Amino acid sequence: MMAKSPHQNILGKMSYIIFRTRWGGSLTVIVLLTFWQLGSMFKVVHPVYIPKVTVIIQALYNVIASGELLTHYSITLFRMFAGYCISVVIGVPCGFLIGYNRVVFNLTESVIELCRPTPVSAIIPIVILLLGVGDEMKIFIVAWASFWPILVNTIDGVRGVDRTLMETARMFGATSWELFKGIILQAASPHIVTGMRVSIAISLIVTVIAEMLAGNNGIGFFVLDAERTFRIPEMYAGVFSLAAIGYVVNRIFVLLESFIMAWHKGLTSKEAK
Amino acid sequence: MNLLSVKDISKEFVSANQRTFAIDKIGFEVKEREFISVIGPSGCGKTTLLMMISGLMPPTSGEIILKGNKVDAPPPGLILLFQDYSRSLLPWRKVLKNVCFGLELKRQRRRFTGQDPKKQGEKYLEAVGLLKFKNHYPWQLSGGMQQRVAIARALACEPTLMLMDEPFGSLDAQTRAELEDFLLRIWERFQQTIIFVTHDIEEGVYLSDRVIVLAKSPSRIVKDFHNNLPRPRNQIETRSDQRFLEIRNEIHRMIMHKQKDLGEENDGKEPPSKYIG
Repeated sequence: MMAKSPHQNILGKMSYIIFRTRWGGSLTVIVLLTFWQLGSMFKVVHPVYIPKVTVIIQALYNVIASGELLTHYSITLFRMFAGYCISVVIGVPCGFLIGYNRVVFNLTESVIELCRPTPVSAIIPIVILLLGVGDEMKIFIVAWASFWPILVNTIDGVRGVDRTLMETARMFGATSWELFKGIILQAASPHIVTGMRVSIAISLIVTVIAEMLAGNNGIGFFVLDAERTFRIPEMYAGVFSLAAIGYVVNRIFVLLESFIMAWHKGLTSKEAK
Repeated sequence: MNLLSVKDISKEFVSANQRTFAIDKIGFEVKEREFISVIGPSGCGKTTLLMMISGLMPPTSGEIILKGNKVDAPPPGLILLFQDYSRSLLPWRKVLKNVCFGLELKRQRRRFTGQDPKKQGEKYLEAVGLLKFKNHYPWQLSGGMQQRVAIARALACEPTLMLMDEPFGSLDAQTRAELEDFLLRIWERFQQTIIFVTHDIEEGVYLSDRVIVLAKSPSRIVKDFHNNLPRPRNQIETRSDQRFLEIRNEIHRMIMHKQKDLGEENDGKEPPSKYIG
């Protein structure tokens, strides 16, 4: 059965969709783009520096059709996912170890708290010095930046596992492995996924920055290069495409989250009431 | 033969700047099929006592023998029902999966070879009257229902000894009376031994064959006696029985006296439970 709005007439239905569902947000985007379009059209803003939305979309179509954007994106997404995957593969197990073992936690806490807030942009020169300006540097930077949220969230998740749950499992005779698999991993999973979601956004940001600073390909390079060669609509097209990619990646994650951890969504929304 | 012997166990908690003497030489014997109530004021170390009997916490001195074996880890055949039942249910598992949780673990699998954990789980879920909620998550149920799920999960492992830590403490009076009678039926049907900890004197007397009264700071046994009220018990008749009232009043007096004594003993001094170390 389809979900029904409580209104029967068209106007009522539309206002319901706009104000009561999340589709209203898309309307806001359309309104803002319309203002942009009109502002540029009537020269409220400089139409060369801020071109019309239609011109940007035309440019976007052109760079997609010519395959230029796709080439850059394949490079960017490769770097991003390589770095991201490395950070997950290292970050989650490290988080479990640190979160579970009090001694390891005490020994590593200061290091983590020193490294984590260091702006990633500040370590780029060091990494360029050590790894050059190629893919290794970019992947390393992405992995570094997305590692910390995953690590810290995993630690929090593991440390936050309810004592009663652990004791219950021990009382039923759970072995260490069963405790880990049956309780800690499950109970910490919402935190881990949150860390992974934060990090995927960070990894896109950092990939683009790294590409702007060094190298001659990738979407970050494309945007900067378009600006320098005065291909202004193409520059904006690159930014628009990044917004779209960021949105899609985040949506996929949210969907995955609500699918895998329906229990957590239900539990937290119940506690919030 | 006794099922369980608690031999003069004591417990002292040591933290960075103080020592707390929680339990002072508690000893008692438990026979099979007995229903024992442990009654004491809040904060008298009842939970600590159960944690030690179930092997989750080692005593500072003394020992616990279950079926001839010394308890130093959670022993098979013993189930502790936590006071925080809603926190002891796994929120990511649906009700039936929660009931099967114990059975899926390696140790219990060894005890129940040849039995399908799902069928076993359903059997006990039906016994607590919640079979039709088997596909709900625990947090979708009311407090009383969650407690019944926890009971079903304990029963599914067919324990010889069940320890219950103020299991009905946070329920409303009606649900509580219902679950008390339900527990008595379960006990008669599945023939366990139960140690039931409560701060509610009437509840303790109503349910049990034997009552152990504790005093606090540090916790020790004040009285250990048999309660020969006739079975089956009935919420109205038993509770208005003259003998029931006598036992209740006597326990009440004991607990009150003990607290008064303690108050006089320590007038103007440090409480006896805390020794600055």
